[in-house]
Amino acid sequence: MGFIGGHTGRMLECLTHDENVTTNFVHIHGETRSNLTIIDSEQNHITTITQSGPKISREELEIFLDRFKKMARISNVIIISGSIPPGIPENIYAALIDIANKENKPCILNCPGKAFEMGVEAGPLVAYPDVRGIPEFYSENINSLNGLFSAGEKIININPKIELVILSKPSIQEIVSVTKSGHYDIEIEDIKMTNLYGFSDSITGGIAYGLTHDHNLLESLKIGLSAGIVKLESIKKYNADLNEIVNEVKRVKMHSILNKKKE
Amino acid sequence: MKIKEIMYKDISSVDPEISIEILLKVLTKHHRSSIPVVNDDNEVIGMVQVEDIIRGSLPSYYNMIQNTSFIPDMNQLFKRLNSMKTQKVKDIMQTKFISATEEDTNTYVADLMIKNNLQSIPILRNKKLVGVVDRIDFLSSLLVDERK
Repeated sequence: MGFIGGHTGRMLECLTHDENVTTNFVHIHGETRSNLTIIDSEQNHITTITQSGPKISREELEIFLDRFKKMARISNVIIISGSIPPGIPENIYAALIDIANKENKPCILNCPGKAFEMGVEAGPLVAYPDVRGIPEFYSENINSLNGLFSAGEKIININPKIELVILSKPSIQEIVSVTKSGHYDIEIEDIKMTNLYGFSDSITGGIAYGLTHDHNLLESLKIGLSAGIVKLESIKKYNADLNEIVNEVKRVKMHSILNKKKE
Repeated sequence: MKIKEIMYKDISSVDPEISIEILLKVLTKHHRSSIPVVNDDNEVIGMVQVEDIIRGSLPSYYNMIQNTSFIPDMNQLFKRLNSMKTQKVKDIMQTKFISATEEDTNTYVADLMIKNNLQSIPILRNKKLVGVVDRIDFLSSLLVDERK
């Protein structure tokens, strides 16, 4: 679900159908944005040119909200992710999580900034902020392992519905998870990273897969991270085969930090 | 071949309470001539087609006249369309509609569409929408192998 428009939007919808995925996009007046990533593998340099998204009208948002309410009823897990396009209030994700919670549907929130802070108040099951390029989060210096755990601890205590917080900071090569019962420093064996594009989408997709296939949250996180590994090690964006993802689970090590903070 | 292999996996729909003005915007942006109407449980309760709106905006006596070309254009269609804009989808939707299930064969669905003169047909699973099939989908499915 989401908003699409213009030629790029149509192409996106067709490509999604080609991958055998059912869609329920709201077609909008504006044009779906294009983001360009230039990967210079010789210089190990990545340049990203990002367009601003199209403005969404109030009418288009109302159509989306109506469809979301109906889809929430028939969904098993709901992933809410991405930046918010112009024209949409920053509390939109909080509103969507409220709808999902009313239907007792587990919700995974993965987004940056104010939308995350407002969304997390509504109580998603999984909170995964996008903290790329941010040195400080919830008044904690997140350029250290301890800082990541402290920020995670603060987030999980915002709403009792939150059961898992994920924080990844590629600049210091750290991924951590915080649950109500413990903290985990995540290690991925022999990672050969190409680029980070689609990494968080793969993680949330993998978690949703785990939750809909009777895995507990931490097992689901491992599946998500395995999907993330496949993405990290591929220069192209592609949909990995399930077996390919499951094979990588053994490379994910979750070290429980008993004293909650690593010295 | 089963219809689920060629159906268009788009489950866009509209609410019965929205106005015809909004409906027209949705149909225009989706480049569709019909769209399913769903209730709060996401069950399909009707179909609404552009044809229904046009028929509703024509004066009723047009049905009795074989050839209407001699009637001067008084912008009647436009005026009536304008007056319909505030009506709701539930007022014009067809509650008796033909649907198929994803397990039906493509020949069965094609036959259903031709015999009932349908341009598109909703594909349901337990009353819930899982896709739509347009006449062109049968023909474009012939090209799938070529694209690969």
